[in-house]
Amino acid sequence: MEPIITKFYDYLKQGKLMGLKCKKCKGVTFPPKASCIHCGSRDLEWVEISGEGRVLLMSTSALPAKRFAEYAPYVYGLVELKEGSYMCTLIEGVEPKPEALREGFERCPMRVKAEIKEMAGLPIVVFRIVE
Amino acid sequence: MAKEAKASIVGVGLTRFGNVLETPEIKGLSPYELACLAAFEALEDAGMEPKDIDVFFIGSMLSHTSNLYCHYSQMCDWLGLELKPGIHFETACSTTNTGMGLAWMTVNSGRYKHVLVVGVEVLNSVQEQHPGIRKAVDPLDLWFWTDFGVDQAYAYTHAYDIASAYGAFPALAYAKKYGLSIDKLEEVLFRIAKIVRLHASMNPKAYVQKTLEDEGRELGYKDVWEFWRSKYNPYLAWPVRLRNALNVADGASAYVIVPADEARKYTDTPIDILGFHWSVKNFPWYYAGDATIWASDAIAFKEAYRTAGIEPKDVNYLHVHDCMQSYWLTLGELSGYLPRGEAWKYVLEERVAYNGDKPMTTSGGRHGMGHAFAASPGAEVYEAVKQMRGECGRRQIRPEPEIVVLHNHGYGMHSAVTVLRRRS
Repeated sequence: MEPIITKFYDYLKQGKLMGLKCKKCKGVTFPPKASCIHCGSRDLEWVEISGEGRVLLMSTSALPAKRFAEYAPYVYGLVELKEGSYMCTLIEGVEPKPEALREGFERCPMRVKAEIKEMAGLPIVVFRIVE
Repeated sequence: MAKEAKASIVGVGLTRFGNVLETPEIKGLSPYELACLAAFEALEDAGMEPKDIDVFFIGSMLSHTSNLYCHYSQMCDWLGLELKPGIHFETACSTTNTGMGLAWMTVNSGRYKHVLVVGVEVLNSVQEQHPGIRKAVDPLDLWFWTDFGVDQAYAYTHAYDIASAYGAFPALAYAKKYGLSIDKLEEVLFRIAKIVRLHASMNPKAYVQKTLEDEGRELGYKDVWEFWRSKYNPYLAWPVRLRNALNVADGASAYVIVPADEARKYTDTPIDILGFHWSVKNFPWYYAGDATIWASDAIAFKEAYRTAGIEPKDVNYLHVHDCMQSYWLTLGELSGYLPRGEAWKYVLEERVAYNGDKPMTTSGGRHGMGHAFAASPGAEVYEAVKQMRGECGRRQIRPEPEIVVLHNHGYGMHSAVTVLRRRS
């Protein structure tokens, strides 16, 4: 088996957002895993992900993850990707303050676009609000 | 129609939950002694001696704070169980809910008859020179270690935030789904917290035994709503405030399970394990992006009810895992105990309080009773058994519940549901 996790982050280093597409059910597993999250098949191939989606929910925490404490406060959100996958990560373009989050709550879901950013020693996926 | 029981709880034990550095009843106790305190109470409650136990399961989660692996060997002689079969097991914060199912399977296999299940956790401090000498832990470290229980490949690397993901998102999704404004949501969360603290104030084994009103008065607030919105109760993850969340605790719980047809030898009120189920899901846990519905919870409830032969209308008392109190809403409804979209009204009408018609989590839950990860579900087993026996004093549900449903979340995520019945 190839090192899937390492390959995912190596792709991000190259500026590519990659997932795995199931050859059987055609579903996309993003982030990539060893089995299709839709049908369990192991017959998968790497595909580029659009990075387009919608942020459904957002909040900000007084107890940030230790590795990300230097970036706090930040907005953390749930994103639905065009390909049908879900991901929680940092949301850019909204202030981590109650007033801004309240306004965001009223406006969600909002369109977002993925960006690749170096944080806590790794290239990771974040989403920026585009409307 | 409820099915015939095959295994029953005949004894329960529980330490007070708190902080071993300061809480009087457990001050200075190590994990060894906490486990013994709970286990000995359970054995005495069942009228059993260690020699009567055929097999024991000890559950705990966070080795970083307890400084322990291999509890079975390290604690067997402390418990009087040396040379008996024993294991360590863990499904994080659902551990001692899962333990009931494991004991049920063990008893039903016919291989062992009398099972002792123990949960123990020390979280507020780490060991120094020996298990009784400890120093306070930094919360950032505690949650760094705890979050090893969540997807390390992608969630951990993408700023995984438990307070938002586990606390704020379900609360916000509930408000969005049922058209509650943020202000109304905050009022509902405040009212849940008031009930939680009322319950805890009547539970001598709870960590926090003060009502919100009393705590507010001590800090100079005559108006409890003003206290709720004060600097003393900041947002943990907007719009969820600190007092809607767990209090990390140290403590232990235990119970004894035997074949149902032997149970009356040990107790006048056997508590039968009617059914159970577990379902697991990796992060994110939400069903099709709806944070009010988690497939693992839905499956666990459905299968537990099916195996028990009950329907939601049969349930007289419900505990849901309330590390964040918004689960009183989402899981209160998903369990079928409260009608869809109406749990918030049941809260405002206080129908979910101990003296309401739909009582929930009378122990004080993960905020009031406190959260000693692997030991917490056992604290709710203790509460359920005491409620069914009519031994809960001022917080007693009347009439005593006959059918009880216990739900727990174990990181990240393990949904465990067990159905209990008081045998008449």
